[in-house]
Amino acid sequence: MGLFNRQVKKKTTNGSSTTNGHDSNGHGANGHGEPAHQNGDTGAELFDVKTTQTLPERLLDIAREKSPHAIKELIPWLEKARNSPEGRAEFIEKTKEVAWQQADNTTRAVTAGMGLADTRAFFRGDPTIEKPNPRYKIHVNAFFAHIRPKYYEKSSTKFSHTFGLGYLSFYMFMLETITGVILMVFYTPSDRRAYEDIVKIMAEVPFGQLMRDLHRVGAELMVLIVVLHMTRVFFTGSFKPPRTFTWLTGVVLLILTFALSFSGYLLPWDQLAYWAVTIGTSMAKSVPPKEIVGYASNLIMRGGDTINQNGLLRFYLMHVFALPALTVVLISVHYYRVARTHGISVPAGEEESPDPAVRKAAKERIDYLPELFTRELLWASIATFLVIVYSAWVFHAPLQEHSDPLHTPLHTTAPWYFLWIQGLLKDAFVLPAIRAADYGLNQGMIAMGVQTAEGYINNPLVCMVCGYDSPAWQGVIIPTMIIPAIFLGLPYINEFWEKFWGAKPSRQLLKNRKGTVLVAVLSTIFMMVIWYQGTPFYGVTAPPAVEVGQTFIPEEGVLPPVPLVPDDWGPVRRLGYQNLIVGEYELANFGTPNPTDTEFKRMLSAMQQEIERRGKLWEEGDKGHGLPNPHGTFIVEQWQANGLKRIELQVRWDPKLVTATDEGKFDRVIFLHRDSIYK
Amino acid sequence: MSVQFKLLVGILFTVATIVALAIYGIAEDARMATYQRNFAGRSIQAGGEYFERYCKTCHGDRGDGVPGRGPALNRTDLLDLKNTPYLKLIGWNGTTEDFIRNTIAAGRPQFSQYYQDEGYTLRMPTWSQDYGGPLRPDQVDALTGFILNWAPGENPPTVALVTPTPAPTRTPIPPEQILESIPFDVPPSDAILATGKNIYDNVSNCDACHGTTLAGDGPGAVGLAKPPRNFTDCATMREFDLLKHFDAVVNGRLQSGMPAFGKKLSDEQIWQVIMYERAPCQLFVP
Repeated sequence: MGLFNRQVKKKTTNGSSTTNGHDSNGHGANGHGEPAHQNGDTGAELFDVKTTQTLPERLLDIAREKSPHAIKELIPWLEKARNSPEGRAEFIEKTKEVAWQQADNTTRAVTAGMGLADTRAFFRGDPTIEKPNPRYKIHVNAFFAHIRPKYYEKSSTKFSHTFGLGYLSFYMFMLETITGVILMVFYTPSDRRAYEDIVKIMAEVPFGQLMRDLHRVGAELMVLIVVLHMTRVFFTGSFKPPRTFTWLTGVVLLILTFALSFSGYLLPWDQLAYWAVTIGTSMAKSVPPKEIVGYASNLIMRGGDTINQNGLLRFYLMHVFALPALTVVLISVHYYRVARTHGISVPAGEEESPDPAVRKAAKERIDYLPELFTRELLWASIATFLVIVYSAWVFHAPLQEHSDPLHTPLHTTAPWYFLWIQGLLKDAFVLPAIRAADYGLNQGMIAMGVQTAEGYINNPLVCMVCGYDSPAWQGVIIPTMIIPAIFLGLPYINEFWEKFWGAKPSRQLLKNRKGTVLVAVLSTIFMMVIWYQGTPFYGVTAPPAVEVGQTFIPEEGVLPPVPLVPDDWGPVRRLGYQNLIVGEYELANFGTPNPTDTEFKRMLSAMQQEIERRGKLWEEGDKGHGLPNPHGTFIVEQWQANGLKRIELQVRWDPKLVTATDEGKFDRVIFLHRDSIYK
Repeated sequence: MSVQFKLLVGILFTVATIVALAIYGIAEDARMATYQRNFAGRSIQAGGEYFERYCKTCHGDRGDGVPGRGPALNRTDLLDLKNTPYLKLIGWNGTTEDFIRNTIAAGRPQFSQYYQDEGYTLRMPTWSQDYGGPLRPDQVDALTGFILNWAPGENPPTVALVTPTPAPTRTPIPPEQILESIPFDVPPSDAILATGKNIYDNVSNCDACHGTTLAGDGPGAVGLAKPPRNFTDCATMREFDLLKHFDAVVNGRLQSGMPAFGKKLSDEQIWQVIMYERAPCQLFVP
């Protein structure tokens, strides 16, 4: 311990060398060829043979003469140590001093400014020892530290104020970069190899599945955290001046996060990827004017009429190069403003407090090194642990069947963060309103005798629906208005509004901001409603029998509409090869479940109950969801002795009642192999 | 929180992460093996679906063959991977897997000598996108996996396997004796024409290429380099005398893809078919 507390004086090394008689001549004689006359100890003396010396003595002299500088310094110390106990103690003391000096210099180099004693104080959380503060020196000398501010205002670092969301967004970005680069090693952006490569990553690359799961978990978390970060900034009023432009870059970063996540969606090249991106890019087709901009943007994104090799390569390059590069630039701008221009906001209540003591306490300085640096390390280690455990044992990234441009799976959905756009596309509000208005107008005109029922149809002069382009409005114009127009403009609109009314600007939630907050809460509720409308639970009209099949044997793994929940391949596949017993089962025999039933029989009961429910719905008059007099058969056949079963769900109902051509039958067939896993 | 506490907890979590990774890593080999089987299994499942969609009309529900359309695939001589008697017989030096994959991918440009006696009228089309077919490479692989997953002889073929027999030696008919060699009176009676039609439609499946109306427009004609003979075109039929017609049916026409029926049909049956085919132009005598 005494060693560490020793005061370090820079000059001691040179000072100590004066005790060494050999020191001063070394450089002079050999380095520059100048004779060092004062000691008479020159190179020429080598040839001045003294007859009194024996040969070993002479050799020793020559060795001393020719030995390197450090050895020459060492020799008298060794002699002293050999000759007396005091010399030995002195030698040990000297060794410690030199070792300390070396360690101290090395530490200064590594820490970019802190000596050994200060490094120790740093990790103990003690105040600095040397003056001026060597921790501030690090902020000047070291690149990564120079990006960070020297100190924060104390209240801005409160967890309940920021929840560390900005930091976590960046953490997720780094996690995505690292796992993404590892995944890139094993991935080829080719329509023939992409899917195969993903399978290889999962089945043949050690830790490959973990990397893929981490990448997926990180992506979902990144979107989630960025959205939460924005919400936090809104509610704490931190978008207000002087942080208006920072908010603007943040909204661009939000869009980039969406784009990054969505462009990565296509790369596994499975059905999920293919069709989710097909939905996404088909919105681009509706950008008005459709014939020029819509057509061109669709063509540029997809590289063709449909997504193919060209489209895959484009999305890949966007995902691994263009968007990350842009994001790095935007993050730099965003963070530079936070770190250098205005800092993280302090809680509004404290900043605007009438009590100067509170205001002063809020702005008290808290050094980045080591307080916040260690806090960040702690968060990083906890976050790393959590995402690794979550991806290793809870969540696995979904992989559906190979993409098939000829076959659209039932209930294709966008990723959860775009479900609100899918909800908008179902147009639950505007289209019915226009239709109702149209109907009213039509009836009115007929009543007045200026229009006949036939003449009204398809007359764009009076028919509002005919002139209304639903995909363009709901898929492009409204989302565009929501994201860039409102979000980007929010702080500026706010600023203008306050000036307009002459209101005293305040960042506090319930002071001068009640209207804003009300609008925000209502918008959030609206977003939740249209997000719900984007899920397959709303307004999707698959024939009822198909829905029965989809419930138990979905075409592909069903992706839940919420983040971080694994996909579900339905009860039949979940039950697995072993538990599906070969035979033909009339589902009517399994109507009432028995508590002692096996899992298999319980599933058959569930099927029967679902079919009965459809029958009841029909009787109650719900022709859209019910089936007339339905019954079902579940057939399990051993298709190949070598571990392959063929599973068929047959639903039969009275034909020609639902539609004129309805055959009254639906079959869903899948094969299940012994080794395939769907859990 | 003191700096030291933060560091301590951070180190604990780092150690916990390393432990978690180690636990995960220990099971990694087993997991990868499971996943390899998992994806092989899924591929076989997909192969089952593709087989139902594309193959079963000709090769049967369970690969047991359809008479007149396609041979059984689920056969001991093909799937016996150790001895591969079939592959030895046809002189294939690669693996069974490669044989099946290549057959699916590229199809069969010619009728197989091996199956000559079973008298299939359709040739295996090309399936892989590489050769202009509809299937992606992974789908061809899935089908191959599915076919190889049959245990040899699991489902007995509906078409009995025929060991190839050497072609019977028919004495060539001298042109002047051609009428004598026809075993019934010409012009033929309606009963003979009806028998000929039955052979044409149901026994030899000539209609697959030559069409039910004899106009050479059957479904199998699509994609043939040389269109099948149109029996209703009397101008060309006049050039096509009885002797040439008999020879074409007996020996087939290798260049155009016409199969040989000499081993399958008797002389009498062949003449009955020929009479049915020549009926539209009434060219019953030389």
